[in-house]
Amino acid sequence: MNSPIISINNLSKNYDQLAVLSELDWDIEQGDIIALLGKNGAGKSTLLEAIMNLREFDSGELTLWGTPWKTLPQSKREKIGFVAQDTVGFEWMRVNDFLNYLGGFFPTWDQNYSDNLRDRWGLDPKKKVADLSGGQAQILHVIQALSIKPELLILDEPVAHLDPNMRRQFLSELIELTCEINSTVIFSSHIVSDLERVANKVALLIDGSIDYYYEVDQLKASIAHLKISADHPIEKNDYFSEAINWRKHANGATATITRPMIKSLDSYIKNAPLPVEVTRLSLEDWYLEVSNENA
Amino acid sequence: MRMLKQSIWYLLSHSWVTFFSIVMVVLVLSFMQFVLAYNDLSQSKGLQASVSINASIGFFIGVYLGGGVLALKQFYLWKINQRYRSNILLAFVVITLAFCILPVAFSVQHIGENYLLIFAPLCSAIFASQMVLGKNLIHKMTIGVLVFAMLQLDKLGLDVNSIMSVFLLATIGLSYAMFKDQFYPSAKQKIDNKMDTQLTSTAITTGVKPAMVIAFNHYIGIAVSKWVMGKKNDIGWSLLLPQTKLGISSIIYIIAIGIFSAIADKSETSFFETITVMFLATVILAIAVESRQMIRQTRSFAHVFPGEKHRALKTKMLLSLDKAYLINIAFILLGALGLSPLLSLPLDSSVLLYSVLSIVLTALVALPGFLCLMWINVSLANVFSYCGYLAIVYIIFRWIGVHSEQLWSTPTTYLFIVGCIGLRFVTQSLFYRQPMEQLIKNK
Repeated sequence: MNSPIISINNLSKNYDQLAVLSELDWDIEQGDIIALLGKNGAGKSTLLEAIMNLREFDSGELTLWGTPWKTLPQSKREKIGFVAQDTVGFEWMRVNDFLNYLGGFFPTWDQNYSDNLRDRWGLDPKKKVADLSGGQAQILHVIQALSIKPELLILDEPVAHLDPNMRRQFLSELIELTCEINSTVIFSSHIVSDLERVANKVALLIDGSIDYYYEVDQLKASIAHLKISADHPIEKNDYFSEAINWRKHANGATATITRPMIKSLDSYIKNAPLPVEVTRLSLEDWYLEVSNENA
Repeated sequence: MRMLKQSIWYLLSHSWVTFFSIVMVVLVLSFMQFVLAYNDLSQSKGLQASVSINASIGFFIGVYLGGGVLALKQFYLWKINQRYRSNILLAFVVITLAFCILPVAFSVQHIGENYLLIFAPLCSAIFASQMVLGKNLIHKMTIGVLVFAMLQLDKLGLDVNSIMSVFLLATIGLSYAMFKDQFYPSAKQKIDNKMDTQLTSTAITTGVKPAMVIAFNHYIGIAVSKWVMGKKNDIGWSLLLPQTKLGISSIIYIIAIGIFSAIADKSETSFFETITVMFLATVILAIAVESRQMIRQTRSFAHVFPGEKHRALKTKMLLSLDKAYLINIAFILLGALGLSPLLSLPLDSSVLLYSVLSIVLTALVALPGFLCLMWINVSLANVFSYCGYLAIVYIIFRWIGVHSEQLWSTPTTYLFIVGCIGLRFVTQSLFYRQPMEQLIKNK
């Protein structure tokens, strides 16, 4: 097991009476691409900004490469890329000025890669940042973050303003980047289908803490909707303790498996005390089921 | 070095129109220094004039560069990358020093033994930049009060060099704090904690605005919302909301006048009228800027007024803003009239009332015209139109000064009033001619 690149212990953050992050623990390993999910207002941006040292937290510890932000050396800080949810600022600069200027602050900046991405993604180098559309501005900031060739890349809803074509291109660049330099990527998004394509782990922020944090493949192998058949309504018993959203019906019950199981789903079904019909869930369906459970 | 050069360039170029306006101001003030050198002024008068001019130059530079730093610190690197921050701050210092050397060169002959006065423009620039970069309203006001307090040190018998030493120490302290980023959190942090709650709970925020304005609007909004909302929960009220707050904010202007009047020299007879009129003349700018932000609100309901009905919406907008403007003026005027006996300040109320009338008429003529411009962005059109407005106000004051004895008996007064009413129709029709899309289009 790799040593964690980010380690969070007991992190709490309140906005007046509202607890957004509550005693959150999370270890993130080198090379992972993590999709961070959560409802609107769940605290995803707060968490990502806390990781980026852009937002102070009330209590807890947060280290990057085993070092708290206060003592994190400049050489490590330069290996972090970040795209905020709202890409504002630098309106008076031109696209090229923006990239060249900010690139100068990163020793690992890859100018050829930046120019290549800019041309491929159709950004006019002479265009002013103020004249870019919302999506183009987001692309610009994504190019800036990727061209650092960062060891750690944090993206707060990076695809929110992008069209499907651009989203695909961005995701494939993300995969190439992580393959090339073993970057660690955390990105939040509401487009779950995109996450499935690129992430190897998924984290779900519920009630201020990471309630679900699993490998995507491991999760996808288990998550399913169960239809348990009988000639009478069935109460939840020990065998089905892992299932959530249990609903009794006249001829049995329905439930959902939302966490990876120790044994495979097939053997779980095979050994069930009653006949069980299984429907595999996509990550999007899983997200909806889990969200409903906590609603 | 390459990064420093680039940072200098981007700090200077963040708003070309403002930059050239400031360069023009610096050149004019430098020319005044040049003229001073050939005037037969006493040592103390020459020194006073020279230092005031230098400090003004520093102030303008400081405000402009403070705005540049503020724009560059929006990016996350400001918080996490020391190289980015130091580079920008170094660029800030280099530009400030470069701009402050020229005025100092002019004032050398007046300085004499008060050699520390050569740092006056630098101190002024640093203080002015902090007024822009300050974390919140209290922080900014504290800096202003600090300057006032230090200017009062001569009353304790301190000589000029000692006072300047205090200024220099304060400047060094502020510069260090800016470098360490202790009191100047980035934009992300600005909306931390309470501010976050305010952002989510304030029904109508004023777009991209400094956090202090959001906080200010929030508290004023809470205080007056029940009272204002009563029976006016319609589109007109929606447009008027921020202006209603501005109306309340006039009280703060009045408090400022009170404090300023209490500190300043009361022997100057026209002082109170001048200060009051200065505030009155700038109210339209505040209204116009705020209204341009608020007009964006109409995006969500402008479609309810299709075609010809746009005229009704525009009328509502204009009347709302006129009303807001008049509320502000009334507050300031009542405050001034109340403060005059309270603070024993001499006030020629007929001159004040006449000035108010002229300002109000001029402003009401100008308001629809201003609304046709993109007030959010600094543009040449904006700069010239506001300069034009101020020039007209200045001419009127000069005229009032000359004819103060027979203000109401001269036909020019009545001609002016009639002229203003006529011109209002012209600017109003200009406003009506603007396509609705143009009016509500605002980045």
